[in-house]
Formats: sequence, C-alpha cells, structure tokens
Amino acid sequence: MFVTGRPVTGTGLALRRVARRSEDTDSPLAAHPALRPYLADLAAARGLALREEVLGTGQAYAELAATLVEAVTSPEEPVDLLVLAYGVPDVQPGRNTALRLAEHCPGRPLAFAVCDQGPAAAFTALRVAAEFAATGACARAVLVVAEQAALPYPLATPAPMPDRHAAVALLLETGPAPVDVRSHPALPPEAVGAVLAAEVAELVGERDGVRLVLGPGVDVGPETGVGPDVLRAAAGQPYTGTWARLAEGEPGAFLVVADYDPVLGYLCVAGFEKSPRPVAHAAVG
Amino acid sequence: MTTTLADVAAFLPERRVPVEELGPELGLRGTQVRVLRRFNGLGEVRRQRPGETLVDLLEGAVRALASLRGREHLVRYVIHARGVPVVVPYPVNPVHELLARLGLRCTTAFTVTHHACVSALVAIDVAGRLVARHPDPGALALVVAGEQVFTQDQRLAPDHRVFGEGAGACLVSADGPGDALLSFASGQRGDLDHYGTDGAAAMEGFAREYTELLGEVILAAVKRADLSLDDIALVLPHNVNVVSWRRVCRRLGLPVDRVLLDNVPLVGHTPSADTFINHASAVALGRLAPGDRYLTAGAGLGSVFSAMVLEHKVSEHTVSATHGSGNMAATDLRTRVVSTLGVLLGRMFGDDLPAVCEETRLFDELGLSSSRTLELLLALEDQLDLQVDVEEIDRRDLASVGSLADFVVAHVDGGEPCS
Repeated sequence: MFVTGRPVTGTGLALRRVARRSEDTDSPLAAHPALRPYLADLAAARGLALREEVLGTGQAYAELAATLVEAVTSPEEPVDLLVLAYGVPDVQPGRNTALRLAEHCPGRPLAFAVCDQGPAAAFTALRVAAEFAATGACARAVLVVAEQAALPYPLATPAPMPDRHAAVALLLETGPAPVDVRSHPALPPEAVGAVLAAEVAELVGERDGVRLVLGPGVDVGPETGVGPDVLRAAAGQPYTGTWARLAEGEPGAFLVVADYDPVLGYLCVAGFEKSPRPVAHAAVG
Repeated sequence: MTTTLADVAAFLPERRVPVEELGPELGLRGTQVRVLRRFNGLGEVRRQRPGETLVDLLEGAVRALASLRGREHLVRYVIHARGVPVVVPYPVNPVHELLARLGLRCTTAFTVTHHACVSALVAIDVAGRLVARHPDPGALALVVAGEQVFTQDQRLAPDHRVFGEGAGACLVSADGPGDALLSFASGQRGDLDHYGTDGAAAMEGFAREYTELLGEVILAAVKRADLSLDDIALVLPHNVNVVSWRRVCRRLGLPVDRVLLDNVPLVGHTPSADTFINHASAVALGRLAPGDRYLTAGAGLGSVFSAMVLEHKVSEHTVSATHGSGNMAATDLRTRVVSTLGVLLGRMFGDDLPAVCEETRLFDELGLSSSRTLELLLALEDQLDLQVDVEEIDRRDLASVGSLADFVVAHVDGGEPCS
C-alpha cells in the first residue's frame, strides 16, 4: 500500500536501466466480444464507423510491457512508483493497465497512467516521477511508455500512429540531481529550434559526456551545439521511439531527451543523469 | 510543505433520470431495478441532454470555482482525473479542448487515469507535488473530474451501482489557503483485473475483499495523518451504494451518520467526481466546520482502494444526520421464512433445484449471485407481506437458507407481519 503525508524534501532521480520491445503479433485479448459494442459507441459519438478489418487486432499494454517491467526491476529493489504513459489507446480501453503492470514490480508501487498529451505524456510521466522523488515519496520509479498500431476507427483529425506495437520501460532510482523536465505548451513550429537550443544549452552547461536524443517531432539538431553524440528516434514509433533510443549503446553521463508535438504544440526537453551504479539496457522479445 | 485545496466546486446536469427508466438501457429486469432502489439506496441519476459534450460537463464545474476568476494566469497545470481510461476516440482530446474553452493557452494539460472511480484522489496528490516545487510560489493546478456515460461495458454488471453524470473541480496550491491535505493512502490489487484472462474470478474477488481493503486504506490514511477515526468529522464517500458503506462502517466501528450518503439516491455514482460533488454538498449542508478533519475514500474495479484525509479551513456549521432501524424476533416466523424460501427457490430453478434445507448454501451450491439473492429476499418480502431492514445485511447473512432466515427474523421492520 502506498501511504504518504505532507510533501517533504526528497532526492533526485537517475537512470538505472532501460528495456525496450516491439511486437508485430496481436493480443488475443483484442478479440474479446465486449470490445465491439464499447468501441462502436465510442466511435459513433463522433460520427465514426468501426473499421472491421482492424477490429480484433492490436496489443494490450499490460501484456506488451510486463516483461519489460520485470527486466528493469529486481526483487531486492522495491519500487515505489510506476507511471504508464501512452497516446494511442490500449486495445483494452477500459482496463486499468498500470495497476496490472504494478503486479510485475517488487514493492507494490503506486501505479497510474498519464495520457491525452501526445508524445509529451512520457515527459510528464518523467516529471511526475521526479516530483514524487523530490517531495520524499519515491526512491525508485518505473516509467513505461507504450504504443500499439491498431485503431479500429478512422482518425477524426491527423495524429501520429505507430508502425509497430512497442513499449519501453525505464528504471529510475535515487540520484544526486533532480530530473529536470521543461515543457513549452502551445509553441509554434517556427520557434522550436531556438527554444530547444536554449534549453539544451542551459541543461548541459559545462558538462562533458552528454548524449542528446531527439524525438521524431524535432527536425533540428546541429544548431543545438552539444557535440556529435546525437541520436534520432525513428519516425515510425512516435511515442516510444525516443525512449527506445536510450537502450542503445553506452549512454553518456548526462542525457538530454527532447521532442516536439506539432499537433498539441508541446516542446519537451528533459535532462537527467545516469546512475553511478552500472546502467543496463535490454531488448526483450 | 502542505498541499491545499484552494477551492472546490461541483456541477450536475439538470436532467434527472430515475433508476426505473435506466432499467431497459442497462438490460435490468424489474426485480433488479427494485434491488437497486430498495437495497442499494439508489434513486435517480443526472444525465446531460443529447448533444451536450464531456467538455461542457467539465467546464460547468470549472466555471463554478469562484476563486479561479482573475487567477487564470496562475494555473500551470490542468489535470483531468478520469475513471474510464478511454472515453473518446483517439485523438479527440477533451482536456485540451477544455483548455481552449478556458483560454488557458500556456498551461500544461494531461489526464491521470487507471485509478477507476478514485482517480481524483491520485490526481490531487500528483497536482500537489507538481506545484510544491514550482518556481512560482503562487502556481496553481486545476484538477477536473467527470465523464459521460456513453456506453454500457458488458463486463460491468449493473447490479450494485448506476453511473450518473456529474463533474467536479478543485484548485490545488502549495502552502496556500484552503483545505490542507494531511495524508493519502492507496492500496492496489492489479491481480483483481476484470479485463484479464479470468475476469469473472477477479470480479468475485473484488466483491469478496472490498470491505476489508477499503477499510484498510481508510485506517492507513487516518493513521498517517496522526489521527484516530474518532477525529474524523465526516467521510465523503464514493456514491456507489448505501449498503457497501454500511458494511465498511460496521467493519471499522465508524458511525454511519458520519458518512455523507445523502447524494447516493439523488446523484448516483459519477466516475471520479463523487469526492467533489460530496464536498460541495457537505459545505452547502453545513457539515464541515473550520478545523474539521475529514476523509474522502472510495474504490474501483481493476482494482484500487484509496483514502485521503484533509483539514477544512473555510466554511462553518455542523449538523448530524440520523438513521433509524427496527427489529423484532418471532420464533414461528422463522419456520415460515425457511419454507417460503424453499418455494421461491423452486420457482427460480424449477426441476433443476436440488433438495433445499437450512444448510443449503445459496452461492456455492445453487450458484446464486449476491444480487439474485437480494431478489430472492425481495420476493420473500412480497410473499410474506413484510419489510426487512437491510441496513446491516452482510454477505455472510446471504450464505445459506438458514442464515438468511436468521437475518430476516432479526431484522423485520415495523412489528408483527400480517398473517
């Protein structure tokens, strides 16, 4: 059980482990007969019809991410908080998936989900974890980002859709510095380059060994002036691609992750340290 | 640091729908509707008019926040606390539509969910932590809760609850004036996952453990606030039904009149907004006085149980509600109850009914659900022309023919029944 009182002064968070997974098969749970009437009512409220060829396909985030949560945690290290971030809905739209994922975590963490913010939801989940740590409510947190490629009705307005089902899990634990997440809502596309460059410069300061990961919404880069260690996320995974890149190679001592969502207008930039303990990453499945 | 609720407001659509009108929509038989009203204390719910939207609902609550006017520029976050994770087709985005309606262009907005009908509590806790370290000490987070009843999920049997529409909103600040958040406890049981591979077993487990688990988080929150239950002036419940709260009260030794159940028959259960609706009612009814420590608590399928203790800093007045109960015992009545139950079970099962005696177990042997057992009790009332006070009925009372007969005899209302 998660029990807390008034916020107190806490700690920073640092990245300890990353695991990622992509999946092309569909979950058998996508074929549950109760989904059709639910989705039909959901779509009809906006004048949309179901796409029969898609209905019955898709992935359930609980099953997609369970192995990732197990991969980044260990029984002797209890987790206090699990935050799931997503944009495209789970194939089980009524399921409290974060609670299910918490069952795969040692420590019975407080678990909930953050959504309705496009790719910025993952940054908000990171910020929330940082604030839980900074206010004394969390020493170890798991962040899960998930997306699945099946939408059983047409898009009412343009929005990013992934090519494949995919998920990423990050384990963050107590560290010397707070995770610094900066969010710029309603930023026009023409302002992204300058604001990003200023934020990256401020976050990096005089640090060496910085790795910059840029999401698919960011089409600027060199002008940020942080050196050659820049990774770009694949365009086909708009929600998880950025975070999956953290699982590649040996990360720098300091990580800066940024993405821009032209639909909702959020530019998000996060700076955080890797844990002084060995950092592990894995591809699962 | 202290998280404070600087202002709390609620909004209810004007259209009232009696539970009897909802029966066909929910696929309920007449006796099931009677169970909702008679045993669960439900009466009517509010619903929007056709054409009205979720954003209309949420905006209604925000506009009722009197202290927001003139302070919109201080709102750094808008958080939609939502019980049902997906309520609109992707990428329709109600919380950002709300942002545009309110003219809050430079505000970060998102939804917090997966805490079912108590999502508002975790959203308040999240909001408090976000503003606690915000560089602007006057920063506010606006938490809104509420959703439309747009479908009937076939996996949620409507035999103990009826969802209504309503919304709530609160302004959360750090160390500002307003109700102080003293503690928050949340117990989660993701194994009781009714969308998993064995959903029926999960639903059964949720029903079986509900009273115990909700009681645990209430006690944990009270303890974390360095209080005892005696210090809690009022409980703002989720409005799922009256019966389950009586059970929780009995388990905790908490007087039921300290739980604000007034809205259960009037509003029903609004996913995630009950805390705010009941807060508004408590203030309007004068049931919260300055300095009162109060608790809000609830539970949701999936499964999660949460409780939060706060200290009221604004309004005054206090009144108490009362409830009555009657009982009598009649030795010959018990014989008639047992034999009548046998007759009624015969009507239910026909030739499939095994031999019935006092030891016959209604759930395990006959496969009755708790709601079907309550229907049996209603039929018994009709048959014997009596009324049973069901305030204290417990799952154990429904276990067997004999235990049900014992309960009926001990809880007949209003004197000797007609013969």
